[in-house]
This record gives sequence, C-alpha cells and structure tokens, in this order.
Amino acid sequence: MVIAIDRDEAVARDVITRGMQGLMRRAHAVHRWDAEVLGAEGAEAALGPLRRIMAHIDAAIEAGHGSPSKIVDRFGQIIDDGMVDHIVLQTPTGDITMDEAKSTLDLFCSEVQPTLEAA
Amino acid sequence: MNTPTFGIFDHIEGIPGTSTQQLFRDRLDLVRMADQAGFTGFYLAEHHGTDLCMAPNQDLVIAAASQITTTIRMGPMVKLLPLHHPVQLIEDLCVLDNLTAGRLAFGVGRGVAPIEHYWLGSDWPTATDRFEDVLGIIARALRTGEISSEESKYYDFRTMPMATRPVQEHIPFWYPGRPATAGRFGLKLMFPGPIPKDAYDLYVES
Repeated sequence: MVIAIDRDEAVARDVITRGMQGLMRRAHAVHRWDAEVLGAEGAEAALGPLRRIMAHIDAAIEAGHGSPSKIVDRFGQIIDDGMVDHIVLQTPTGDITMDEAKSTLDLFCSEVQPTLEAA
Repeated sequence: MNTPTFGIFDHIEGIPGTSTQQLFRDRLDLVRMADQAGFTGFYLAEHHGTDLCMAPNQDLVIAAASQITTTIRMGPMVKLLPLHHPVQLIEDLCVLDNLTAGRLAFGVGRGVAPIEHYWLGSDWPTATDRFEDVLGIIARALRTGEISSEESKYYDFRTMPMATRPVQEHIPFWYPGRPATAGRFGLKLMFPGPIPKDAYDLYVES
C-alpha cells in the first residue's frame, strides 16, 4: 500500500496525494501504445484493471496517510483481522521525493512498528 | 495479535531532474536502510519502455543490493513470465538465490500492459496461458534439477541440467493477482490493500 506518515496529517495527505497522482499518471502512460497492437476496443479493455484501481484511489489515500498513531490504528485493524502475515509499503512512488519517503520510513520504524509489536 | 513482517515495494520510477545514476544510488541506499531497519522484504516491479520503471530487469538491482544487505529478502514483484525464456529465468533465479545467500523471494505474474508483450516478442491473447506454461517449467526444474520443455505448449528445447542450484530448498513464490490462481499453484498471495474475507477464503479453499 502507498503510505505517507507525518506528524502533521495535512502534510501526510499532500505527500500521498502526489504519490498516487504521479503513480496513476505513469501507470496510465504504460498503456499508451496498446491501441497499436490491440485496436481501440482491445486497448480500452486492457485498461480495465487500472480503472478498477483508480476507482479506489480516494480510499487508498485515506487508508495510507496519517500521523504515526493513526497508522498504528489502521494497521492494528488489518492485523486484528488475522489474514495477513506480511505488509508491503510503497514509497517512494509517483511524485513523492526520496526525502519524503525516508521521512515516512523513519517514522514507521521508530514509532509505528514498535507500537504494533508491543501491542 | 501476531505482528506481521513488513516489506517495501518499488517501481524505481524516474524522477525529473534526478539522473538515472543517482536514482539507482538512492535506491541502493534505500534498500540498505530498509535492511538495517528490520524490513524483511524489498520487491521490484517490471515494466518496459516507460519511466514507471527505470530498472526493467530487477535481477540487476537485486544482484547489486545483495552485496550491501544481510537479512532482507529481495525479489521481483513481479517477473513477467510470458516475456522471458524459461531457461534464462531459471538460471537467473538460481544465481540470485546464491548472490543473496538464500534471500530470494520470487513474485510471478502475467503482466498488465499488452504492448510490453509485443515489444519482447510475445503476444497478449496467449499471455495467461504462457504464464502458466512457464510457471510449470520453473516448478518442474526446481523439483527435478532439470530444465525441460516436455510439458510445454510454447517452448521446445532439449532438456538440460540446472547446473546452478538455488540455496533455498523452497523459494517463496508470490502472486499478486487472483486469489484462486495463487491458491491453485500454491503461491503466496500478495493482495493490493486489506484483503476482504471472501477473497481470503477463496485463496485458502483453492
């Protein structure tokens, strides 16, 4: 999941929004030659999986950003469901900078993960 | 509650104003940092002809990262099986498992961008079938120690020894696609976001 953590939730929201928008822009561009090999109808069909992902972008932004304590709460819910043994974070992506990604990962390692492990 | 382990997924996207050399140096710094911080996985995407993925052959990045990390698992997420010759895939996989000292985690998939299949000499209508065909060749090779196309629809080559063996007896294979397909092939399921109960049950039942 794309993730952005900052003590200021507005900053985290800005970071993840740029990440998602940049990621979707690039993912969409991957398909820009599909019509040459599949025709217009086939190319449209090939966009189906990406469109299904894009339909859930707002939810992904909501779930993936926040202060360390908010992320702890959200991950706690996922973990409590008991269906995952490995969670994969996605950062940097899109228009998230390397410094922003490192800041997120620093907070994840120093505050989120220890709290989850202590629970 | 049991705390899961954590990993990082990376397309290695281009960044305007950042040279490709710097991009790769930054990514190697990132995986070294992730290793030291206790992350247990670092996974790389495969895309071609686009700045969504500046390192289309993940194996090269993993080979470099293997020499500056100690515990983190690494692997493609995913390797697009229909785009590559199975002998090359298997040989590279075995080399990587040795370079990483048994830390390879191998994600497999069909691919989602039709044009990439044509660029690499494959096609789109048969992509799903080719995916399963190549996965079968890989599975048989890891089980028997021989790389064979005997049961393949798409490849016909002489059976050859798998001279370089992997370190791990069972390399973890991941599949970030349909839960039923992951379950049917005995692959670990990677799901985009929190997994719904019905998708989880379908995976387990398959």
